[in-house]
Amino acid sequence: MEEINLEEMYDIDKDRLFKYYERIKNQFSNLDPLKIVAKFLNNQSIGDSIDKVYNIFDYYNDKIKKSILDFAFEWIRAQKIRLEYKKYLIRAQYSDYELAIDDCAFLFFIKYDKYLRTILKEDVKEFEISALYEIFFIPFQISSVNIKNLLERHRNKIPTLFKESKRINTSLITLRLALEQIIKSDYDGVLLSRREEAQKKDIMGTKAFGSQNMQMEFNGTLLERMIKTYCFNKREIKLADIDNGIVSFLNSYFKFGKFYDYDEFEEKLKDSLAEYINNGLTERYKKPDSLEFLKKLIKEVLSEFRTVHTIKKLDGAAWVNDLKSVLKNFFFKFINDLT
Amino acid sequence: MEESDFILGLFFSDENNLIYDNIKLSEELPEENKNRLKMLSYKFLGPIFLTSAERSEEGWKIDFIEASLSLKKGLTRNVDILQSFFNINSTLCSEEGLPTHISALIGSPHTEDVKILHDKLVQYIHPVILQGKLVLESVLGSDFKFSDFIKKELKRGINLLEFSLGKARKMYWEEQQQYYCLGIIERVIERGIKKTSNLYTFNKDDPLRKLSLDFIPSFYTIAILPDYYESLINETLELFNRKSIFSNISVIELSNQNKNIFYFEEFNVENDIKKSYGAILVPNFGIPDEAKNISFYRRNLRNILDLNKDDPFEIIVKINPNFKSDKWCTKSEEDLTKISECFDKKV
Repeated sequence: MEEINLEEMYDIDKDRLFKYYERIKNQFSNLDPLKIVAKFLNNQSIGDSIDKVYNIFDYYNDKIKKSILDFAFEWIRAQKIRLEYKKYLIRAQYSDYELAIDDCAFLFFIKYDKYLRTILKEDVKEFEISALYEIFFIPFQISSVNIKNLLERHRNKIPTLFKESKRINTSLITLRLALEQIIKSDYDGVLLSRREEAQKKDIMGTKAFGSQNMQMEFNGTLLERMIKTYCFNKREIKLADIDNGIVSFLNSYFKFGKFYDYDEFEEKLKDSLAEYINNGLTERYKKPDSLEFLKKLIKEVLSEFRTVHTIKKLDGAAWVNDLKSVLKNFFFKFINDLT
Repeated sequence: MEESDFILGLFFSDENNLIYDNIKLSEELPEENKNRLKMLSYKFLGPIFLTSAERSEEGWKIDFIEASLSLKKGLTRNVDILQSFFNINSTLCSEEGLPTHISALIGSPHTEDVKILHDKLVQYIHPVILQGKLVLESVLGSDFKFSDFIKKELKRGINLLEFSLGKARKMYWEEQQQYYCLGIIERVIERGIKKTSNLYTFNKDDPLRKLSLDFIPSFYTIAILPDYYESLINETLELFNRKSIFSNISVIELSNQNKNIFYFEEFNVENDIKKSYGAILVPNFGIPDEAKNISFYRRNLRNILDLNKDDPFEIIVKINPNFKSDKWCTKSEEDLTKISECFDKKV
């Protein structure tokens, strides 16, 4: 049941692959059968070279229950598993390597380990299985597989245990030790990519910051124009226009869905509003201390606002809603008081 | 996730019954609480394998306990956001054939994927500890220090469980089981004090009662489990400084080789009185016509609570027509001894 589930989960098109193998076999019928399979596999971009793949086949040929071609198919299936595991790893955030190893081992490799052992003979040693993991799962741009050295390295690390004549199951430890370096190396690659991506974003972010910075200020151009128009022709400004002007002023700073602390924007709002109104005043109405006077007036309005609205942090849209009427009334009164 | 968001502990008991633990602690916990937490492992690990002079309890293990959490009345400030609380247990034998146990205690603000946590504990964390010990003993010989090894493994284990918390919950397809009910437990708690605790089941001379003993460790054991674990979970919540919530047992699962017991409760709270009714269910009892699915039992237990009659037997008899209206009190040790004498002997 396990075997069927895994084969369905990581399905490979055996029919298509077999047909391709047959073509290679017909083309190179004079070659040793293992060499033909090695060529077939190497043509799938698996393995350093045909010779290296051949050496692996030569070693494992008498250790598998199935044919060497089936073994080659499993090597191809392993690439599919590696792809899925890598896709997962790219999104994962681990606090340490051990967590990465345990999480990936559990999610991708425990079931596979049980499956892999069904195609291997009972007398295959744990270090040979561990070496097979390295063969199947290490990316070839990193490692050049010399089967003798590889087996020696794993033999020294991974024992096969027996109690009297009965073999003790240590499959999970073999799996963990086999995957250790592979997962560490893969996760290092993921972290490096993330750092490079972050550095790229920083550089682009600095360029964009200039223009973004402007968006962090209030824009009261409409209010300035309104005041200027009033100063010139003394025509009554409609309440609806004042409303528009104030909302436009507030919306230039506050964004829906973003939270703002009152203390962060109070000074900015006061200074910006005072400046735009002051800039709108013509020489007839402007005095040397107009700007300071405006700032003082606006500060009083905002203090009064604060005694009623005590919440410190709100969404941008909520601030617009709350401040709108207070500033509208202030602006309306200010214009009416201009003589 | 912030450490203060959840409760997480992993306890291991080896072949010699030595207990090791790793508990994720928030710095804000008082020192006294941290010390008392060390005793938690003994309390949770203790009953998971039920041992008794009576042979009938041999081999029974408590696999899983889940509790639902509710807000205490009037406490709406500084509310503890914990939504799920459960205890997952695993028992595996060492190479010498002696049982070892591992127990995970999890309280989370999310509705967690219990299956994946269970599988990680049972299929990976626990077997890795047993296999790792063997491999390292063989490689290191007398240099191998189990205490150092288990500390590292429990840390890895708890990190792996923590990593799974808060993830999207998968829906698993499961074949619907049919269960037979062996008893109903009624519990009434008023302001934290046990007021009533009764067992409704067969007549003691009913052959079905005797047959039941092949499917459960004992009526005595089943009767004490909900109260024991509910108190233990409430104690745990208090030790972790979660004072605004209280627990009610939702599920207790036991197993013994191919036998299983599924115990679940429904409850309600009114005017500081918590009433709960739990059903003791077993599959494959041998009377397929009388076996029902869980929703049948759930519906009827809810009915008992909703109708709130003084005598719930009218509905209990619908759950199992073979039950008698006698209430067997399970409140005191004396009451439980009576139950044991009447119900737990096959002869």
